[in-house]
Amino acid sequence: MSAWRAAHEALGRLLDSAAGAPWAREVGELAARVRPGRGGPDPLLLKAFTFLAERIPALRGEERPWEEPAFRLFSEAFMLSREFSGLLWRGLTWVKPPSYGAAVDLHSGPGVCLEVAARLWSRLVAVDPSEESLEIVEERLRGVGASSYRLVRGDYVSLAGLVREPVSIVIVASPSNWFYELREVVGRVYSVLEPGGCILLLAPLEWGEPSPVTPFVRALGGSSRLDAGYVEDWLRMEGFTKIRVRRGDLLTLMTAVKP
Amino acid sequence: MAARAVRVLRVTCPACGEVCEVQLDEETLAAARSSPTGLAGVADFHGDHILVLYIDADGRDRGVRVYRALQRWEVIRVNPSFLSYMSEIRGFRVSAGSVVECFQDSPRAFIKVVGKGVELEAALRSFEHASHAVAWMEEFLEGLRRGAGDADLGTLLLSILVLDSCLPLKPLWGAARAFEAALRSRRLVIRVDEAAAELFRLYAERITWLYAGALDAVLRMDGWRLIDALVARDAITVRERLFSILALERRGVVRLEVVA
Repeated sequence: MSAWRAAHEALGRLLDSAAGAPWAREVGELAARVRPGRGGPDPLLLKAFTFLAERIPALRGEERPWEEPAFRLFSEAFMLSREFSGLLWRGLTWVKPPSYGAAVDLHSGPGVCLEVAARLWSRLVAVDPSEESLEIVEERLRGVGASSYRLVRGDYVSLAGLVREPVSIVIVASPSNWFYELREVVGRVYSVLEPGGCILLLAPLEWGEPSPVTPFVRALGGSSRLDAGYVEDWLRMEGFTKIRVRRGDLLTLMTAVKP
Repeated sequence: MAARAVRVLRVTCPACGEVCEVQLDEETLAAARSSPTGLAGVADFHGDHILVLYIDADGRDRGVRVYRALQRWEVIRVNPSFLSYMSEIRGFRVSAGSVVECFQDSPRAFIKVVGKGVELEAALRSFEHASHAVAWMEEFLEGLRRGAGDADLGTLLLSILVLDSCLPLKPLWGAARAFEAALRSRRLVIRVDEAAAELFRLYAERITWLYAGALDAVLRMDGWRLIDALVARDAITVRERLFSILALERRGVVRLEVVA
Protein backbone atom coordinates (compact mmCIF):
# COMPACT_ATOMS: atom_id res chain seq x y z
CA MET A 1 0.00 0.00 0.00
CA SER A 2 1.47 3.29 -1.08
CA ALA A 3 1.33 6.46 1.02
CA TRP A 4 2.55 8.49 -1.97
CA ARG A 5 -0.22 7.12 -4.16
CA ALA A 6 -2.83 7.95 -1.52
CA ALA A 7 -1.75 11.60 -1.32
CA HIS A 8 -1.54 11.78 -5.13
CA GLU A 9 -5.05 10.38 -5.63
CA ALA A 10 -6.48 12.95 -3.21
CA LEU A 11 -4.93 15.80 -5.23
CA GLY A 12 -7.89 15.70 -7.65
CA ARG A 13 -10.24 16.48 -4.76
CA LEU A 14 -7.91 19.25 -3.60
CA LEU A 15 -8.04 20.88 -7.03
CA ASP A 16 -11.86 20.69 -7.01
CA SER A 17 -11.94 22.34 -3.58
CA ALA A 18 -9.44 25.00 -4.64
CA ALA A 19 -11.40 26.02 -7.74
CA GLY A 20 -11.83 29.78 -7.82
CA ALA A 21 -9.55 30.45 -4.86
CA PRO A 22 -6.70 32.96 -5.30
CA TRP A 23 -4.21 30.25 -4.39
CA ALA A 24 -5.69 27.66 -6.78
CA ARG A 25 -3.22 28.38 -9.58
CA GLU A 26 -0.11 27.81 -7.47
CA VAL A 27 -1.57 24.61 -6.04
CA GLY A 28 -2.62 23.41 -9.50
CA GLU A 29 0.86 23.98 -10.93
CA LEU A 30 2.47 22.10 -8.07
CA ALA A 31 0.01 19.22 -8.34
CA ALA A 32 0.59 18.87 -12.06
CA ARG A 33 4.26 18.12 -11.45
CA VAL A 34 3.69 15.34 -8.93
CA ARG A 35 4.22 11.83 -10.32
CA PRO A 36 1.45 9.36 -9.51
CA GLY A 37 3.56 6.76 -7.69
CA ARG A 38 3.11 3.01 -7.81
CA GLY A 39 0.93 0.46 -6.09
CA GLY A 40 -2.46 0.77 -4.46
CA PRO A 41 -3.15 3.73 -2.19
CA ASP A 42 -3.00 3.32 1.57
CA PRO A 43 -6.74 3.46 2.41
CA LEU A 44 -6.35 5.39 5.65
CA LEU A 45 -4.12 8.02 4.07
CA LEU A 46 -6.35 8.26 1.00
CA LYS A 47 -9.32 8.95 3.25
CA ALA A 48 -7.31 11.37 5.41
CA PHE A 49 -6.00 13.41 2.46
CA THR A 50 -9.41 13.40 0.77
CA PHE A 51 -10.98 14.68 3.99
CA LEU A 52 -8.28 17.36 4.26
CA ALA A 53 -8.82 18.37 0.62
CA GLU A 54 -12.54 18.88 1.27
CA ARG A 55 -11.92 20.96 4.37
CA ILE A 56 -9.07 23.08 3.06
CA PRO A 57 -11.16 26.08 1.91
CA ALA A 58 -12.61 26.41 5.43
CA LEU A 59 -9.25 25.76 7.12
CA ARG A 60 -7.48 28.27 4.90
CA GLY A 61 -9.87 30.96 6.13
CA GLU A 62 -8.85 30.37 9.73
CA GLU A 63 -6.07 32.36 11.37
CA ARG A 64 -4.63 29.20 12.95
CA PRO A 65 -5.66 26.21 10.80
CA TRP A 66 -3.54 23.87 12.92
CA GLU A 67 -5.82 24.58 15.88
CA GLU A 68 -8.98 23.56 14.05
CA PRO A 69 -10.65 20.25 14.96
CA ALA A 70 -10.68 19.09 11.32
CA PHE A 71 -6.91 19.51 11.07
CA ARG A 72 -6.45 17.64 14.35
CA LEU A 73 -8.53 14.77 12.99
CA PHE A 74 -6.49 14.68 9.78
CA SER A 75 -3.26 14.84 11.81
CA GLU A 76 -4.22 11.94 14.02
CA ALA A 77 -5.18 9.78 11.04
CA PHE A 78 -1.97 10.77 9.19
CA MET A 79 0.23 9.99 12.19
CA LEU A 80 -1.41 6.62 12.79
CA SER A 81 -0.74 5.55 9.21
CA ARG A 82 1.75 2.75 8.59
CA GLU A 83 4.15 5.07 6.79
CA PHE A 84 4.34 7.57 9.64
CA SER A 85 4.31 5.18 12.57
CA GLY A 86 6.82 2.79 10.95
CA LEU A 87 9.37 5.55 10.31
CA LEU A 88 8.78 7.12 13.71
CA TRP A 89 9.48 3.85 15.51
CA ARG A 90 12.59 3.29 13.43
CA GLY A 91 13.85 6.78 14.28
CA LEU A 92 13.19 6.44 17.98
CA THR A 93 15.02 3.13 18.17
CA TRP A 94 17.97 4.41 16.06
CA VAL A 95 18.97 7.09 18.48
CA LYS A 96 20.56 6.52 21.85
CA PRO A 97 20.27 9.81 23.72
CA PRO A 98 20.89 10.13 27.49
CA SER A 99 18.19 8.11 29.17
CA TYR A 100 17.71 10.50 32.12
CA GLY A 101 16.34 13.32 30.01
CA ALA A 102 12.87 14.00 28.70
CA ALA A 103 11.42 13.30 25.28
CA VAL A 104 9.85 16.50 23.94
CA ASP A 105 7.24 16.44 21.18
CA LEU A 106 7.39 19.88 19.61
CA HIS A 107 4.14 21.15 18.05
CA SER A 108 2.80 17.82 19.15
CA GLY A 109 -0.64 18.03 17.55
CA PRO A 110 -2.59 15.03 18.87
CA GLY A 111 0.52 13.56 20.52
CA VAL A 112 0.86 10.30 18.61
CA CYS A 113 4.68 10.61 18.77
CA LEU A 114 4.68 10.70 22.56
CA GLU A 115 2.41 7.66 22.68
CA VAL A 116 5.17 5.78 20.85
CA ALA A 117 8.01 7.48 22.77
CA ALA A 118 6.36 6.44 26.06
CA ARG A 119 7.63 2.91 25.38
CA LEU A 120 11.24 4.18 25.54
CA TRP A 121 11.24 7.29 27.75
CA SER A 122 9.66 7.80 31.12
CA ARG A 123 9.61 11.61 31.08
CA LEU A 124 7.50 13.11 28.35
CA VAL A 125 6.76 16.72 27.44
CA ALA A 126 4.26 17.87 24.84
CA VAL A 127 4.57 21.43 23.54
CA ASP A 128 1.74 22.79 21.42
CA PRO A 129 0.00 26.15 21.07
CA SER A 130 -3.45 24.55 21.11
CA GLU A 131 -5.13 23.75 24.41
CA GLU A 132 -7.42 21.23 22.73
CA SER A 133 -4.49 19.42 21.14
CA LEU A 134 -2.92 19.13 24.57
CA GLU A 135 -6.19 17.71 25.88
CA ILE A 136 -5.91 14.99 23.23
CA VAL A 137 -2.27 14.38 24.18
CA GLU A 138 -3.29 13.88 27.79
CA GLU A 139 -6.15 11.58 26.81
CA ARG A 140 -3.66 9.56 24.77
CA LEU A 141 -0.90 9.40 27.41
CA ARG A 142 -3.34 8.38 30.11
CA GLY A 143 -4.78 5.82 27.75
CA VAL A 144 -1.41 4.13 27.35
CA GLY A 145 -0.63 4.35 31.05
CA ALA A 146 2.08 7.04 30.95
CA SER A 147 2.21 8.86 34.26
CA SER A 148 5.19 11.20 34.07
CA TYR A 149 4.27 13.78 31.50
CA ARG A 150 3.96 17.54 31.22
CA LEU A 151 1.76 19.49 28.86
CA VAL A 152 3.07 22.89 27.85
CA ARG A 153 1.20 25.49 25.86
CA GLY A 154 3.59 27.22 23.48
CA ASP A 155 5.65 26.82 20.36
CA TYR A 156 9.28 26.68 19.23
CA VAL A 157 9.81 30.38 19.89
CA SER A 158 9.14 29.99 23.61
CA LEU A 159 10.57 26.47 23.85
CA ALA A 160 13.70 27.32 25.88
CA GLY A 161 11.69 29.18 28.50
CA LEU A 162 9.01 26.51 28.77
CA VAL A 163 11.06 23.33 29.04
CA ARG A 164 13.21 23.36 32.16
CA GLU A 165 14.11 19.68 32.45
CA PRO A 166 17.14 18.12 30.67
CA VAL A 167 16.04 17.16 27.18
CA SER A 168 17.24 13.93 25.54
CA ILE A 169 15.27 14.08 22.34
CA VAL A 170 13.07 16.55 20.53
CA ILE A 171 10.63 15.11 18.03
CA VAL A 172 9.54 17.38 15.19
CA ALA A 173 7.08 15.31 13.24
CA SER A 174 3.39 16.16 13.54
CA PRO A 175 1.70 17.94 10.61
CA SER A 176 1.42 21.04 12.84
CA ASN A 177 5.10 21.54 11.98
CA TRP A 178 4.14 22.19 8.37
CA PHE A 179 3.20 25.69 9.47
CA TYR A 180 6.56 26.57 10.98
CA GLU A 181 9.88 27.50 9.40
CA LEU A 182 11.89 24.35 9.92
CA ARG A 183 15.20 26.19 9.74
CA GLU A 184 14.28 28.33 12.75
CA VAL A 185 12.82 25.34 14.60
CA VAL A 186 16.09 23.42 14.23
CA GLY A 187 18.03 26.27 15.84
CA ARG A 188 15.73 26.44 18.86
CA VAL A 189 15.79 22.68 19.29
CA TYR A 190 19.60 22.70 19.37
CA SER A 191 19.57 25.21 22.21
CA VAL A 192 17.39 23.08 24.52
CA LEU A 193 19.04 19.69 23.95
CA GLU A 194 21.52 18.22 26.41
CA PRO A 195 24.92 17.26 24.93
CA GLY A 196 24.36 13.87 23.34
CA GLY A 197 20.69 14.69 22.82
CA CYS A 198 18.97 14.12 19.50
CA ILE A 199 16.55 15.71 17.12
CA LEU A 200 14.16 13.50 15.19
CA LEU A 201 12.56 15.01 12.09
CA LEU A 202 9.84 13.30 10.14
CA ALA A 203 8.39 15.29 7.28
CA PRO A 204 7.31 15.12 3.63
CA LEU A 205 10.70 16.36 2.40
CA GLU A 206 11.38 16.62 -1.31
CA TRP A 207 14.14 14.81 -3.18
CA GLY A 208 14.45 16.72 -6.44
CA GLU A 209 10.75 16.42 -7.30
CA PRO A 210 7.56 17.77 -5.70
CA SER A 211 5.99 15.68 -2.98
CA PRO A 212 2.24 15.08 -3.28
CA VAL A 213 1.92 16.60 0.20
CA THR A 214 3.38 19.94 -0.91
CA PRO A 215 0.19 21.16 -2.70
CA PHE A 216 -1.78 20.43 0.49
CA VAL A 217 0.73 22.34 2.61
CA ARG A 218 0.67 25.32 0.26
CA ALA A 219 -3.13 25.25 0.06
CA LEU A 220 -3.24 25.40 3.86
CA GLY A 221 -0.93 28.41 3.80
CA GLY A 222 1.91 26.39 5.32
CA SER A 223 5.64 26.87 5.04
CA SER A 224 7.65 26.80 1.81
CA ARG A 225 8.77 23.57 0.17
CA LEU A 226 11.27 21.51 2.12
CA ASP A 227 14.17 20.10 0.19
CA ALA A 228 15.86 17.22 1.98
CA GLY A 229 19.34 18.50 1.05
CA TYR A 230 18.66 21.91 2.54
CA VAL A 231 17.36 20.42 5.77
CA GLU A 232 20.47 18.29 6.11
CA ASP A 233 22.61 21.42 5.57
CA TRP A 234 20.65 23.35 8.21
CA LEU A 235 21.25 20.57 10.72
CA ARG A 236 25.00 20.64 10.02
CA MET A 237 25.21 24.42 10.15
CA GLU A 238 23.49 24.45 13.51
CA GLY A 239 26.14 22.07 14.85
CA PHE A 240 24.36 18.71 14.74
CA THR A 241 26.43 15.65 13.92
CA LYS A 242 25.81 11.96 13.15
CA ILE A 243 23.00 12.78 10.76
CA ARG A 244 21.10 9.72 9.61
CA VAL A 245 18.51 9.76 6.87
CA ARG A 246 15.89 7.24 5.86
CA ARG A 247 13.67 7.89 2.91
CA GLY A 248 10.22 6.36 3.07
CA ASP A 249 7.58 6.28 0.36
CA LEU A 250 6.14 9.68 1.23
CA LEU A 251 8.04 10.84 4.30
CA THR A 252 11.69 11.27 5.19
CA LEU A 253 13.16 10.51 8.58
CA MET A 254 16.24 12.40 9.80
CA THR A 255 17.95 12.07 13.15
CA ALA A 256 20.95 14.06 14.36
CA VAL A 257 22.94 14.39 17.57
CA LYS A 258 24.06 17.48 19.47
CA PRO A 259 27.73 16.80 20.28
CA MET B 1 -26.88 21.33 57.37
CA ALA B 2 -29.06 18.31 57.84
CA ALA B 3 -28.91 15.81 60.64
CA ARG B 4 -30.57 12.37 60.53
CA ALA B 5 -33.82 11.93 58.63
CA VAL B 6 -36.85 12.34 60.90
CA ARG B 7 -39.46 11.49 58.32
CA VAL B 8 -39.64 9.91 54.89
CA LEU B 9 -42.38 10.92 52.41
CA ARG B 10 -43.30 8.91 49.31
CA VAL B 11 -44.29 11.05 46.35
CA THR B 12 -45.02 10.41 42.70
CA CYS B 13 -43.33 12.68 40.19
CA PRO B 14 -45.98 14.24 37.88
CA ALA B 15 -43.43 14.47 35.06
CA CYS B 16 -42.06 10.93 34.87
CA GLY B 17 -44.30 8.97 37.23
CA GLU B 18 -41.40 7.79 39.35
CA VAL B 19 -42.28 7.08 42.96
CA CYS B 20 -39.55 8.43 45.19
CA GLU B 21 -38.83 8.62 48.87
CA VAL B 22 -37.91 12.07 50.13
CA GLN B 23 -36.07 12.24 53.44
CA LEU B 24 -36.88 15.12 55.78
CA ASP B 25 -34.59 16.15 58.60
CA GLU B 26 -34.73 18.58 61.51
CA GLU B 27 -32.98 21.33 59.58
CA THR B 28 -35.51 21.16 56.76
CA LEU B 29 -38.37 21.40 59.23
CA ALA B 30 -36.61 24.33 60.91
CA ALA B 31 -36.17 26.00 57.49
CA ALA B 32 -39.93 25.67 56.91
CA ARG B 33 -40.64 27.15 60.34
CA SER B 34 -38.45 30.18 59.69
CA SER B 35 -39.59 30.69 56.09
CA PRO B 36 -42.10 33.55 55.48
CA THR B 37 -44.30 31.11 53.54
CA GLY B 38 -44.04 28.42 56.21
CA LEU B 39 -42.77 25.99 53.58
CA ALA B 40 -39.43 24.48 52.62
CA GLY B 41 -38.55 22.66 49.41
CA VAL B 42 -36.64 19.39 49.07
CA ALA B 43 -35.35 18.54 45.61
CA ASP B 44 -35.13 15.05 44.10
CA PHE B 45 -32.92 14.47 41.05
CA HIS B 46 -34.74 12.82 38.12
CA GLY B 47 -32.12 13.12 35.39
CA ASP B 48 -33.44 15.80 33.05
CA HIS B 49 -35.73 17.42 35.61
CA ILE B 50 -36.02 18.00 39.32
CA LEU B 51 -38.98 17.24 41.53
CA VAL B 52 -39.34 19.68 44.42
CA LEU B 53 -41.54 18.59 47.31
CA TYR B 54 -42.76 21.41 49.54
CA ILE B 55 -43.32 20.56 53.19
CA ASP B 56 -44.52 22.55 56.16
CA ALA B 57 -42.96 22.80 59.61
CA ASP B 58 -44.66 19.57 60.66
CA GLY B 59 -43.22 17.67 57.74
CA ARG B 60 -46.52 17.41 55.88
CA ASP B 61 -46.60 17.22 52.10
CA ARG B 62 -47.84 20.61 50.83
CA GLY B 63 -47.44 19.98 47.11
CA VAL B 64 -44.89 19.13 44.44
CA ARG B 65 -43.52 20.98 41.44
CA VAL B 66 -41.29 19.92 38.61
CA TYR B 67 -38.46 22.32 37.80
CA ARG B 68 -36.06 22.51 34.97
CA ALA B 69 -34.54 25.91 35.77
CA LEU B 70 -33.03 27.02 39.02
CA GLN B 71 -34.35 30.34 40.33
CA ARG B 72 -31.67 32.80 41.34
CA TRP B 73 -31.25 33.37 45.08
CA GLU B 74 -33.18 30.20 45.88
CA VAL B 75 -31.90 27.79 48.51
CA ILE B 76 -32.53 24.20 47.45
CA ARG B 77 -31.96 21.20 49.67
CA VAL B 78 -31.51 18.11 47.62
CA ASN B 79 -32.95 14.83 48.82
CA PRO B 80 -30.02 13.03 50.55
CA SER B 81 -30.86 9.89 48.55
CA PHE B 82 -28.96 11.64 45.72
CA LEU B 83 -25.77 10.94 47.63
CA SER B 84 -26.26 7.23 47.05
CA TYR B 85 -25.28 7.76 43.38
CA MET B 86 -21.86 8.96 44.46
CA SER B 87 -18.86 7.13 45.81
CA GLU B 88 -16.56 9.96 46.94
CA ILE B 89 -18.76 12.88 47.96
CA ARG B 90 -20.91 12.48 51.06
CA GLY B 91 -22.34 15.99 51.11
CA PHE B 92 -21.97 19.25 49.19
CA ARG B 93 -23.05 22.84 48.95
CA VAL B 94 -22.77 24.90 45.78
CA SER B 95 -23.27 28.66 45.92
CA ALA B 96 -23.59 30.48 42.62
CA GLY B 97 -26.35 33.02 43.03
CA SER B 98 -28.54 30.19 44.31
CA VAL B 99 -27.50 27.75 46.98
CA VAL B 100 -27.89 24.03 46.37
CA GLU B 101 -26.96 21.67 49.15
CA CYS B 102 -27.25 18.00 49.93
CA PHE B 103 -26.24 16.44 53.22
CA GLN B 104 -27.15 13.17 54.88
CA ASP B 105 -25.54 13.98 58.22
CA SER B 106 -23.20 16.51 59.80
CA PRO B 107 -19.73 15.94 58.37
CA ARG B 108 -16.79 17.00 60.52
CA ALA B 109 -14.63 18.33 57.72
CA PHE B 110 -15.17 19.96 54.35
CA ILE B 111 -13.05 20.98 51.48
CA LYS B 112 -14.05 24.46 50.41
CA VAL B 113 -13.02 26.09 47.16
CA VAL B 114 -13.94 29.70 46.49
CA GLY B 115 -13.87 31.52 43.18
CA LYS B 116 -15.22 34.74 41.74
CA GLY B 117 -18.78 34.73 43.08
CA VAL B 118 -19.00 30.94 43.28
CA GLU B 119 -18.23 28.50 46.06
CA LEU B 120 -18.16 24.76 46.42
CA GLU B 121 -17.96 22.87 49.70
CA ALA B 122 -17.69 19.12 49.69
CA ALA B 123 -17.51 16.53 52.43
CA LEU B 124 -15.65 13.46 51.24
CA ARG B 125 -16.04 9.86 52.33
CA SER B 126 -12.25 9.63 52.54
CA PHE B 127 -9.49 12.21 52.34
CA GLU B 128 -7.25 9.82 50.43
CA HIS B 129 -7.83 11.85 47.24
CA ALA B 130 -7.98 15.26 48.90
CA SER B 131 -5.19 16.88 46.86
CA HIS B 132 -6.78 15.71 43.62
CA ALA B 133 -10.16 16.78 44.94
CA VAL B 134 -9.06 20.40 45.37
CA ALA B 135 -7.74 20.53 41.80
CA TRP B 136 -10.94 18.98 40.41
CA MET B 137 -13.11 21.30 42.49
CA GLU B 138 -11.24 24.32 41.15
CA GLU B 139 -11.89 23.08 37.61
CA PHE B 140 -15.53 22.56 38.55
CA LEU B 141 -15.81 26.15 39.77
CA GLU B 142 -14.18 27.43 36.58
CA GLY B 143 -16.73 25.42 34.59
CA LEU B 144 -19.49 26.83 36.80
CA ARG B 145 -18.32 30.39 36.21
CA ARG B 146 -18.41 29.83 32.46
CA GLY B 147 -21.61 27.79 32.31
CA ALA B 148 -23.69 29.11 35.21
CA GLY B 149 -25.85 31.23 32.91
CA ASP B 150 -27.12 28.15 31.10
CA ALA B 151 -27.17 25.81 34.10
CA ASP B 152 -30.21 24.57 35.96
CA LEU B 153 -30.66 22.36 38.95
CA GLY B 154 -30.70 19.18 36.88
CA THR B 155 -27.50 19.97 35.05
CA LEU B 156 -25.86 21.19 38.24
CA LEU B 157 -26.53 17.84 39.92
CA LEU B 158 -25.37 16.02 36.81
CA SER B 159 -22.09 17.92 36.92
CA ILE B 160 -21.72 17.05 40.61
CA LEU B 161 -22.05 13.39 39.60
CA VAL B 162 -19.27 13.91 37.06
CA LEU B 163 -17.14 15.62 39.71
CA ASP B 164 -17.65 12.71 42.09
CA SER B 165 -16.49 10.17 39.52
CA CYS B 166 -13.42 12.27 38.70
CA LEU B 167 -12.11 12.69 42.24
CA PRO B 168 -10.00 9.49 42.37
CA LEU B 169 -8.31 10.40 39.06
CA LYS B 170 -5.31 12.60 38.44
CA PRO B 171 -6.67 16.04 37.42
CA LEU B 172 -7.09 16.51 33.68
CA TRP B 173 -5.83 19.38 31.56
CA GLY B 174 -8.81 21.57 30.65
CA ALA B 175 -11.34 19.70 32.81
CA ALA B 176 -13.28 22.94 33.29
CA ARG B 177 -14.59 22.50 29.74
CA ALA B 178 -16.12 19.17 30.70
CA PHE B 179 -17.95 20.69 33.66
CA GLU B 180 -19.04 23.65 31.57
CA ALA B 181 -20.50 21.27 28.97
CA ALA B 182 -22.33 19.26 31.65
CA LEU B 183 -23.74 22.44 33.18
CA ARG B 184 -24.94 23.71 29.79
CA SER B 185 -26.02 20.28 28.61
CA ARG B 186 -29.72 21.13 28.30
CA ARG B 187 -28.89 23.80 25.73
CA LEU B 188 -26.42 21.79 23.71
CA VAL B 189 -27.33 19.43 20.88
CA ILE B 190 -24.95 16.83 19.48
CA ARG B 191 -24.31 17.13 15.73
CA VAL B 192 -22.29 14.37 14.13
CA ASP B 193 -20.15 15.32 11.12
CA GLU B 194 -20.58 12.20 8.98
CA ALA B 195 -17.48 12.75 6.80
CA ALA B 196 -15.31 13.22 9.89
CA ALA B 197 -16.93 10.21 11.56
CA GLU B 198 -16.15 8.08 8.51
CA LEU B 199 -12.46 8.99 8.73
CA PHE B 200 -12.43 8.51 12.49
CA ARG B 201 -13.97 5.03 12.19
CA LEU B 202 -11.13 4.02 9.84
CA TYR B 203 -8.50 4.48 12.53
CA ALA B 204 -10.55 4.12 15.73
CA GLU B 205 -9.32 0.55 16.19
CA ARG B 206 -5.78 1.93 16.57
CA ILE B 207 -6.78 3.97 19.62
CA THR B 208 -8.72 1.39 21.57
CA TRP B 209 -7.86 3.12 24.85
CA LEU B 210 -10.23 5.96 23.91
CA TYR B 211 -13.48 4.95 25.64
CA ALA B 212 -13.94 2.30 22.95
CA GLY B 213 -17.45 1.27 23.95
CA ALA B 214 -18.84 4.74 24.38
CA LEU B 215 -17.60 6.16 21.06
CA ASP B 216 -19.87 4.06 18.87
CA ALA B 217 -22.83 5.04 21.02
CA VAL B 218 -21.98 8.74 20.68
CA LEU B 219 -21.78 8.48 16.90
CA ARG B 220 -25.40 7.31 16.90
CA MET B 221 -26.56 10.32 18.94
CA ASP B 222 -26.87 12.87 16.17
CA GLY B 223 -29.55 15.39 17.14
CA TRP B 224 -29.68 14.37 20.80
CA ARG B 225 -29.61 16.97 23.51
CA LEU B 226 -26.40 16.54 25.44
CA ILE B 227 -28.28 16.06 28.70
CA ASP B 228 -30.21 13.14 27.21
CA ALA B 229 -26.96 11.58 26.07
CA LEU B 230 -25.46 11.91 29.53
CA VAL B 231 -28.26 10.96 31.87
CA ALA B 232 -27.49 7.80 33.79
CA ARG B 233 -27.74 7.02 37.47
CA ASP B 234 -24.17 5.91 37.63
CA ALA B 235 -21.53 8.61 37.92
CA ILE B 236 -18.82 6.71 36.04
CA THR B 237 -21.09 6.13 33.05
CA VAL B 238 -22.02 9.82 32.99
CA ARG B 239 -18.33 10.77 33.06
CA GLU B 240 -17.34 8.30 30.35
CA ARG B 241 -20.11 9.47 28.04
CA LEU B 242 -19.22 13.11 28.61
CA PHE B 243 -15.51 12.55 28.04
CA SER B 244 -16.22 10.48 24.91
CA ILE B 245 -18.35 13.26 23.47
CA LEU B 246 -15.68 15.85 24.23
CA ALA B 247 -12.97 13.61 22.76
CA LEU B 248 -14.93 13.50 19.51
CA GLU B 249 -15.63 17.23 19.68
CA ARG B 250 -11.90 17.99 19.87
CA ARG B 251 -11.48 16.02 16.65
CA GLY B 252 -14.41 17.73 14.95
CA VAL B 253 -16.33 14.45 14.69
CA VAL B 254 -19.14 15.95 16.73
CA ARG B 255 -20.10 19.54 17.33
CA LEU B 256 -22.10 20.79 20.30
CA GLU B 257 -24.62 23.24 18.92
CA VAL B 258 -26.24 25.76 21.24
CA VAL B 259 -30.04 25.77 21.05
CA ALA B 260 -32.58 28.02 22.72
